[in-house]
Amino acid sequence: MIEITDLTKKYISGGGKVILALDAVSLHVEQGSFVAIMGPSGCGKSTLLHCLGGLDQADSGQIFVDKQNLTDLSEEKLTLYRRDRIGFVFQFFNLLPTLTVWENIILPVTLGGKLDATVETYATHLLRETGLEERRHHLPHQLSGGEMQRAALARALVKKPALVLGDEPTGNLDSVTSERLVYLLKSLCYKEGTTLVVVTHSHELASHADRIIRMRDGKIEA
Amino acid sequence: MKLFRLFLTHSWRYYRRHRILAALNIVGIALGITVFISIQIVNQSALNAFKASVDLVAGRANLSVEAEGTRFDESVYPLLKKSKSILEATPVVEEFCLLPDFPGQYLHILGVDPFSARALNVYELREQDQGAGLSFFSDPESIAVTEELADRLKLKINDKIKIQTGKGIATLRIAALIKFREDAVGSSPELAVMDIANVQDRFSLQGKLNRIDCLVEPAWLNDPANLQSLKEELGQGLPGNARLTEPGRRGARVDKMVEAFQLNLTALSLIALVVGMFLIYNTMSATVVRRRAEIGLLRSIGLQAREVQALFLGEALLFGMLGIVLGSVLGILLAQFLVGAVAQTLTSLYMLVRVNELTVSPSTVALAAFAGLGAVLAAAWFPSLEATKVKPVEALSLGHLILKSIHSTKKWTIYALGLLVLACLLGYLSLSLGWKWLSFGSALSALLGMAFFVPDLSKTISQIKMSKPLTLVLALRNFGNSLHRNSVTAAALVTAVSMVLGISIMIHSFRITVDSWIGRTIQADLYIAPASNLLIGMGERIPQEVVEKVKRLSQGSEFNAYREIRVQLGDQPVKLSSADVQMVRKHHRFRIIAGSDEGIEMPSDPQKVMVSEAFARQHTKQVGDHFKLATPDGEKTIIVAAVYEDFTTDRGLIFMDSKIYQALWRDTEANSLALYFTSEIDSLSLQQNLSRELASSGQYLVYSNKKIRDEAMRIFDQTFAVTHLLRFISLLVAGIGIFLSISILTSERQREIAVLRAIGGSRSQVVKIILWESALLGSVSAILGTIGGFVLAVILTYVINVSFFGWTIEWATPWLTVLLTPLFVVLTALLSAFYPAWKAAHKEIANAVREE
Repeated sequence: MIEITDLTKKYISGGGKVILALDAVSLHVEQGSFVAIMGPSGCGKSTLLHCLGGLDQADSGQIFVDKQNLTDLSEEKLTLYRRDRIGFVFQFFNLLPTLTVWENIILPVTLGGKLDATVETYATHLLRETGLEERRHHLPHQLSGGEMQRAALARALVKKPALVLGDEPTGNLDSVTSERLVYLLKSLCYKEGTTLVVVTHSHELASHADRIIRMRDGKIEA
Repeated sequence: MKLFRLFLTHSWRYYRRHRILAALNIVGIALGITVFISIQIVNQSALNAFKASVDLVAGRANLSVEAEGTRFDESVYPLLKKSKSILEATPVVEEFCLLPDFPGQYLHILGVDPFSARALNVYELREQDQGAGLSFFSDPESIAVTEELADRLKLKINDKIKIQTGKGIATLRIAALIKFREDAVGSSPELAVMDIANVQDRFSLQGKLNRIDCLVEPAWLNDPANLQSLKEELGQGLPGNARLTEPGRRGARVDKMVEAFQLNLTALSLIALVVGMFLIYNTMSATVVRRRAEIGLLRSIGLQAREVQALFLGEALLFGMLGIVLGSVLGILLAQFLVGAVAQTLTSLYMLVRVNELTVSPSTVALAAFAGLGAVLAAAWFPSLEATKVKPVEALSLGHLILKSIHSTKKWTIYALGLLVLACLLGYLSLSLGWKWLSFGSALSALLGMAFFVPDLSKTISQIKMSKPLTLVLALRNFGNSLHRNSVTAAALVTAVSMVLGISIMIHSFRITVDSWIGRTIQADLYIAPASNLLIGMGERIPQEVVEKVKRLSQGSEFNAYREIRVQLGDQPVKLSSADVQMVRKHHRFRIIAGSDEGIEMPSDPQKVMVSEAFARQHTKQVGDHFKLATPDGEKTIIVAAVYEDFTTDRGLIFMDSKIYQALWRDTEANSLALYFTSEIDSLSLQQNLSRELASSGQYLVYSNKKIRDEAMRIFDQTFAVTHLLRFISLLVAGIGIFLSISILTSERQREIAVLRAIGGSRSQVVKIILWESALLGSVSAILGTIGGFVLAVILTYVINVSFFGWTIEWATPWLTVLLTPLFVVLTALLSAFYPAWKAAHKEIANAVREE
């Protein structure tokens, strides 16, 4: 499903020093699997995630997601890629504060003008699965941290993406809530055959993954 | 010291990283200061120019004998010389004339007596041959001009120069140059000196004087009884309308004359500063929000709350000081641009002013600095207070999103209504008690009141239920969620738009009223006036021989001669105008507001006159009221028979029948002539004939009815030329405010925008959302600004105008302006937001989602 070959990404720090965020990273991920990426801060795991999600572009190397070469895509095509094929769950500020839970969930399909009865039915299903039916018309500031993350998860899945990317999705939650979210994440992705790649510091979350990839200094540890 | 060091290391570095934010803040204040200081400089320069010429002309004289508005017989002079109280005395005749070879130039000619003037002059005459002695005064063709004028016109001694007199064009010889002594105060390049007898002869003023300048012991002046006893000593020789004054006081009289005009300009100039205050408030409060974590950190390591406030106030003061410096420089440049227009307006409406150099006094700069710093501190006070309320724990916890918005908008609506009520009250008190300043308070309250409606209207609009398009839906939600930011920006724009529209409506109404008045009152077929009126204002007379010539040439047309002089009523100058009342009644349609003009052409005691509406208002005179005027034969009691509509002058006008005037003032001169054709006359050939006979040498203007109407409207339009610029600058400051506000909002929402982009929002969708939000901002401002414009127009027309000038203006709405202004406002909002929107849409997503 995911094929990464010799991916390299550099940054220039404030002091003018060149930092190698990704150093010729190569990776293969099977369709429908759950992969956790772990490593110390600054090891390049978030950068790898962002490149996978089309939020950032590598300096060299190639990324194929479902046989689509991301490195060849223009900015517009990357936007469409994110809109149609990728779901994101971030650690903070996942939801737009001015939209209700329901509006946040259906936002990705609304952006593409593809909201129809089928999508609404599925979105309602996701609302139920994530236990947010009672919160449908609430604004994000009226939700707990766990509820916000469940809503973000529902939003990530509403378009039935090929790939869901999580950047420390449980980083801001207590252990009980984290556990519930991980269970939900895994079960919903498995049901749809969605590939799940999560960046985390949490061993509890990583323990649920089919595979753990460890990174250090921009490289994948053997 | 600790705070100062913290300021340097913390605040200074912050703004070095956010240069555009800092620069725009400074520019916003600078623009407000620019407008304010330029108006102060122009006002002060105009007044000083006049006072300087008065001082120069008066020289060392500390007492002046002059008759109000007219000349008097020179037989008074020997009587004055004999008086023991008078140390020195010299007679003076003054005239103004154009220079045909130098269009746009005039001379202010002093006719002096060489012997007696020497003791009082502050100048010397430098002849080519210094040994020639008094040859200058013995040669009837000699004239002395200033060195500055000679340089400017590239003239030198012995060159010929042509001047226009009532008798025609005269060629004179520059026999000397005027060099001012070191003790001379002021500058008047147009000053010229001739022998008094030569001036009297050339300008048909034989036996007449403008005034007698005297030197007395300074202590003598301190006792008013001395002046009275001098008057009694001179007895019958002194005309009844003679005044003994100190030349220096003339400046104070001029101050009073132009006070209302200059005060209104100053008030207008302050609007730009008020709009700038909103800008400062907005950016300071945004800065507090953005630096919450820093504030939390500083507080947690021991900085006290009041020290936090001092830090932010210090930043605001720094902006203020830099803005004042920049604004002062720009203000001087703008003043150079404006001074010509203002001086021309003052000349047309009040008295001759020619400003050759700008007066930039320390007090003007200090006043601007005080106003600027005051405005900045007032604007920054509440945001800095907010900074003290930041809780360190909350500020330092990551991911803590503050949803600060104005939830309760009703209280602002209540404040708004309260301010509008206050505006009505202040307006009423201004009119009923005569406290003019309250009218400005009324206008300010109304402006602020309209601005305070913004939160409620914004909230109402943000709650409009829509499902499509998505970008508009998101913009509506964002707009409602950012009231704390958008409301202040919209308030600034509402203030600017209200001012722009309010003044436009007032000027339009005024113009329509004046145009209608001109249509009713300017009915003559031809008007004849001295050409110098265009340059130096109404003051020149048409000699009697020219009047007779016009009568002969006019082929039996009906004829009216207008005379206008300036008289004193108490300490205020007032115009007295005279003409043949029966001719006026026959050909013109004056609108009488109160009383009746019946019988004003008959001598009576008290003497009946008509007074203008402005006069009635400013001197609180109604029909039947009496007042006294000084005439050459003594004081005359006058009674107000009627109040009529007149827009000639804001100082008020007394209108008297010409026969009555001539009898009381023994003055048969005219300032202008009006001809009414009979049906048999070939009007075109008559006009051409008169133009040929009178205007061929350029000393007289022969205007058709249409031309004089056009000229009158040109003067009207020129009067308001400065306000166009002031309005534009206010809108510019508001536009900067929108740019800053949208930039700050997008900066605050960069994480949110990044999430939107991450889940599939395109760049164009992000731009559209921000532009929609800006359009909503513009729309709220346009709606309230339009309403505010009408409210302000009512106050300007029916309160400020009446309080200061006393005119009745008929309301007229410039519908095209009213319809276009809101569109322009929304367009300004969109244009101002375009760059911040583009920048937000092109920000790197990965960096933005990383930032907490």
